[in-house]
Amino acid sequence: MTRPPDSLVEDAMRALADLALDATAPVSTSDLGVEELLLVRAAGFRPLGLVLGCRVVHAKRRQAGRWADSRELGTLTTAISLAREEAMGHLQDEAARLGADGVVGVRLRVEGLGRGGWGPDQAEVTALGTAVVASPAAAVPEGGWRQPAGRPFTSALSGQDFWALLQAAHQPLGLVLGSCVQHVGPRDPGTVLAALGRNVELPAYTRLLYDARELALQRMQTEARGLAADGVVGVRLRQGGDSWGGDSWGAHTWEFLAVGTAVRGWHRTEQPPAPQLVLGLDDRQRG
Amino acid sequence: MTGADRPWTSNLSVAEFAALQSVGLDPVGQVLGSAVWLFAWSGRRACGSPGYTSTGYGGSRRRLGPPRTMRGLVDTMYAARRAALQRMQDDAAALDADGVVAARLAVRPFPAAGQHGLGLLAPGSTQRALEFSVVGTAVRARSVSRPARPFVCDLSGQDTATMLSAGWVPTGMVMGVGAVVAHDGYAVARMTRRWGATREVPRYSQLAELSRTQARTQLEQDVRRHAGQTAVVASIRVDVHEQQCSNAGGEGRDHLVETVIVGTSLAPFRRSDGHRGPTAVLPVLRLRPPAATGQQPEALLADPLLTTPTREPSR
Repeated sequence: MTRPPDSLVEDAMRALADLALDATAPVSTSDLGVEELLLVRAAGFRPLGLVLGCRVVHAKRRQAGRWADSRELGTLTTAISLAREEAMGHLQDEAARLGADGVVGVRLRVEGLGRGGWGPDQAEVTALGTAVVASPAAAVPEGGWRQPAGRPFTSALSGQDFWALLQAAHQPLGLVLGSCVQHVGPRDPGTVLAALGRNVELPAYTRLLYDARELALQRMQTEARGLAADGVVGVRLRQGGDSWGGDSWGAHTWEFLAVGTAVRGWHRTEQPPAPQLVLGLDDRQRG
Repeated sequence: MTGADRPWTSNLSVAEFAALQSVGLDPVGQVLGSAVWLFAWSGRRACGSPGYTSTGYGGSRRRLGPPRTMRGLVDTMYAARRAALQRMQDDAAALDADGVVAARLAVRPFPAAGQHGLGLLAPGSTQRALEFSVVGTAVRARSVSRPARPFVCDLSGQDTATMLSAGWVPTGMVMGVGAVVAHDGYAVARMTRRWGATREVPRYSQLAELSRTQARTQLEQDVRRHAGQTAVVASIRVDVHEQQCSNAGGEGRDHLVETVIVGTSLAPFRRSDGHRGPTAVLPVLRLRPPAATGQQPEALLADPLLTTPTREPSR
């Protein structure tokens, strides 16, 4: 089966045949996917390299206080929040050393506590993202791309969302999060007896869910305020979290975590694009 | 495999096939590369522990060295993967192909080779064999120019087509391997006891960061070696292994962190037709059922009450 030569693939193959090795050429790595990479470039940014930060924390899950009481485990909240903060800080430092304006596609994960090789009581916090620099030709928001403190911005948004956010005349400022590690006590004998054989609400637990979520969200908002943000997009509220479960204590120790990206609007003359109706040919289910 | 009179085979889906056709790449056959390697590394004296002294375990109370790179392991892990890729490339060259797309690299234990363990460095096992295999589809370009060697990429058909029309050509599959080991020592052993206070374990943090940093550096070098300018990473795999230290008289633990990054390096080229490549659109309505998009509501998945009813806090 022979077909007429194609100018696109002709150009590509000629480039491939003429490739020259250059030991000093600048090389960028990223953990962006194909579409993400193209969209980040289309948004006027150039990836500089993969940046990361890791912290391993020992968590003492048995805390002082009555086991039967439901309450926040302050030490654990502080320790895990600090570890996340430090991992993010290291990621930002690496990005700053590369001369980046920000880090996109940041993934912040907590793993361990019973799984993985660090032992049953250790949690590993990993932050991974792609450092990017704005091209000189691109429009710059009034305050610049960096955070108010002069550090590179961080964004938990995918390349697609990053592009869409910029199109909507907003800039990402930082990945913000709020956490609350909560001990969920058992029901007291009174409620157990009262609910015997009946289908009833357990109001104490309902209230606990409200309180813990509210705490996590508030803490996230406080972080966003510190960055002088207008709002937070892409907030994900995670509850429980597999990383805290896994043993007999885990069922009673829950983490409520809110993660989002703080954004600020800026004046742009162009109009945001009108959404279009498209027929996607990418069948993600089958790959 | 294919001949002039036989139909071609491929591991491409219909959409991938259609996407490749649209940029002028025709499949010529499914290609395979395989390599079975023996890892007889024992890990002796690798962890930097001061070893057994007359004071017993207390001997490792002495100052421990920084985490160490397991050069031998890093090189073997890289070489084994490279060998499988090379063989697939030879296969493609034999088919007179210009490239291989949608390459999938897999690593499996190969128990038939003798003493084995599923964990790569499971304690107690002295040697193990691993199978490295890679499968892809060889393609021929509708072009007059031909590369000296077929390029290899792990991008899907759609992604290859997208990148080509955006002016990026894949130059090869790239890898970064990091393997770092450290002896726990007395201080870490104390810190990680169940009743130890909640705090960071700096030695572990250092180990985790170093392994990833090494893999990243090697990935960068590999991209440069493949004359690429950027890379699209397909997977980052990190394994943490705990093993009995063979150096301190059998006492104490070592931790080994292994990182493998696999991706495709890309080089830019100029399109002579002046086309700017794909345009970004903001879809308002994807005409596809939500289940097929692979994006399920995160909150629903993360909610233990909905996914694992057994974890309800009532007893």
